[in-house]
Amino acid sequence: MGKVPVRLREVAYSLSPNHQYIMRGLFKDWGYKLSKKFHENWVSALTLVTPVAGTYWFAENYREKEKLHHRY
Amino acid sequence: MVRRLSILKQPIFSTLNNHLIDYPTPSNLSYWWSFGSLAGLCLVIQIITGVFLAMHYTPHVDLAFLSVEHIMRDVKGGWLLRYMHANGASMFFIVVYLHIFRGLYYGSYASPRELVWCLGVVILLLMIVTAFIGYGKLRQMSFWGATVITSLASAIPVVGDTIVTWLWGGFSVDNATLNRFFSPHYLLPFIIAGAAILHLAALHQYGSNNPLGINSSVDKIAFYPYFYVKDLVGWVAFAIFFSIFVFYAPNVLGHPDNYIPANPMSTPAHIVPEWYFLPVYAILRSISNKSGGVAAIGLVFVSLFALPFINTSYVRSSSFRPIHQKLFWLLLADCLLLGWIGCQPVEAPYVTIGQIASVGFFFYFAITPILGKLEARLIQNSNVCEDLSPRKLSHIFKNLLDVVK
Repeated sequence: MGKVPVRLREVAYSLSPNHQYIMRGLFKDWGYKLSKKFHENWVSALTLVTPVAGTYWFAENYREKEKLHHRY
Repeated sequence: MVRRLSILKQPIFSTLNNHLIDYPTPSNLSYWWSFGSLAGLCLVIQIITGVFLAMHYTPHVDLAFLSVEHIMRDVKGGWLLRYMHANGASMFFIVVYLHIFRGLYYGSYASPRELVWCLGVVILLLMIVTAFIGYGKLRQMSFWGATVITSLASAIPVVGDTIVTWLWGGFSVDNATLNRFFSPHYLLPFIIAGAAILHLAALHQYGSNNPLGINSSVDKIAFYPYFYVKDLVGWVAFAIFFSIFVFYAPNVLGHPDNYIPANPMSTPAHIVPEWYFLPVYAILRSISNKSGGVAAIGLVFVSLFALPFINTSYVRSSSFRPIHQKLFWLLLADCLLLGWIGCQPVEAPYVTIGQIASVGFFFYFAITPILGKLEARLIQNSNVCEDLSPRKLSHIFKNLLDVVK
C-alpha cells in the first residue's frame, strides 16, 4: 500500500486549568473587599445587634435575679 | 443578530414577551430583588402541595387529625407533601418579610410605586388569613390558637359576639369551624395569585426600583436572560434552604403540642401562634384591653398602607439616607424583639419589653413624615435630591404621558 495523502485536521490545544486563570476576579483583593464591607457596615450591624442582644441579656439577667431573690 | 420568533408577536405570547422576556429592567439590581419571584415560587409550591394534600385530607372533627396521620404514614409521598406544605408556609413568610424589608430599605414604596406597595400589603393580609385558617383546628395548639384569635372579633362593638358565633358556626371551635375555614383556605391562594398579577402589573407601569433609588431609564437591560439566570440562582439557593427544613428539621418551626389531638377540656400553659405571627401577636398582647389590642393590630396594617403617602423624603434608597438607614436597622431589631416577646409568657420583664418594642414599631411610622424633611436639610444640592424633587417628578410624568400618547 502506498502512502495515501491524508488531509490533516486542525487540532486545537488549550491550556490546562492549572496553567490558566479561571474567574480570577472573584477572589481578587478579597482581604480589601472584606475590610471595605466591614468599614461601611459596622455601624448598621451594631445598630441591629445591640438592641436585640442587649434586651435578651437584660431579660435573662432580670429572670436570674428574680430566681435568686426568691431563694432562701 | 438574534432572530425573533414571530410567535412572540402573537397576542398572548406578546404580553408574556413584553413582561417576562424583553422587559426593560435596571441593570444594577442586586439579589435582594430576587425575593419577588421567590414569593411566586412559594405560592406555586403551596398550591400544588395543597391540592394534592386536599385529595387525602378529611375536614371533619372526628377524622381530621387521623387523616393527616394517614397522609404521613400511608399515602405514598404523603410525608413529603405534608412537610413541604407546612414548611413551605414558613418559607413563604420568610421570603415575603425579606421582600418587604428590602422595599423599606430601598424606598420601593415611594412615589410612583404607591399602588405596588398597597397591593403588596393586601397580599400580605391575604397570606395571613390563609395561613391562619389553614393551620388546622383539631390539634392542641391550632385549636386553642384559633379559639383565642377568633374570640378577638368580640371586641367589635354591638355585633362582636354575633360575628364570633358566625365565624365558629356554633358556640365554640368545632366541626362547623373546620369546614368553613377549610373552604376559603382552598380558595384564597387563587385570590392571592390574582393579587400578585395585579402587583406585577402595577410594578410594570413604572418599572422596578434599584439599589441606588434613582431613575434607571438610562441603563436598562432585558429581563431574559440576565435576571432569569439571577433569579434561578436565588431559586436554587432557596431550594437548598427549603430542603434542609423539609428533610432534616421538618418540625423545628412548628409546635410539639400540635401532635396532640385537640382537647377542649385542657388549655395549654402558653398559647402561641406560628412564628410568622409572633410580632403582631406581641403587639396585640402588649395592650391589656382586648379592643385596644385589636385596634393596635389594625393600626399595624394601616401604617403599612399609609407609608407611601406619609413619606416626605426626596431620596428613595437608604444608601443615601444616613438617619433612615439607622432607623431601618432599629426597626428590624424591634421586629425581631417583638417576635421573641411573642413566644414568651406574659410576665415580667417580657410585658414591659413588649410594650416598649410596640411603641418603637409605631415610632418608625410616626417619624417618617418628619425624617424626610430633616434629611433634605442635610443633603443639599445633591444630584439624587434634585432628581426626585416633586417639580422634576411631575415634569418627568408629563413627558412620559406624551411619549405614551
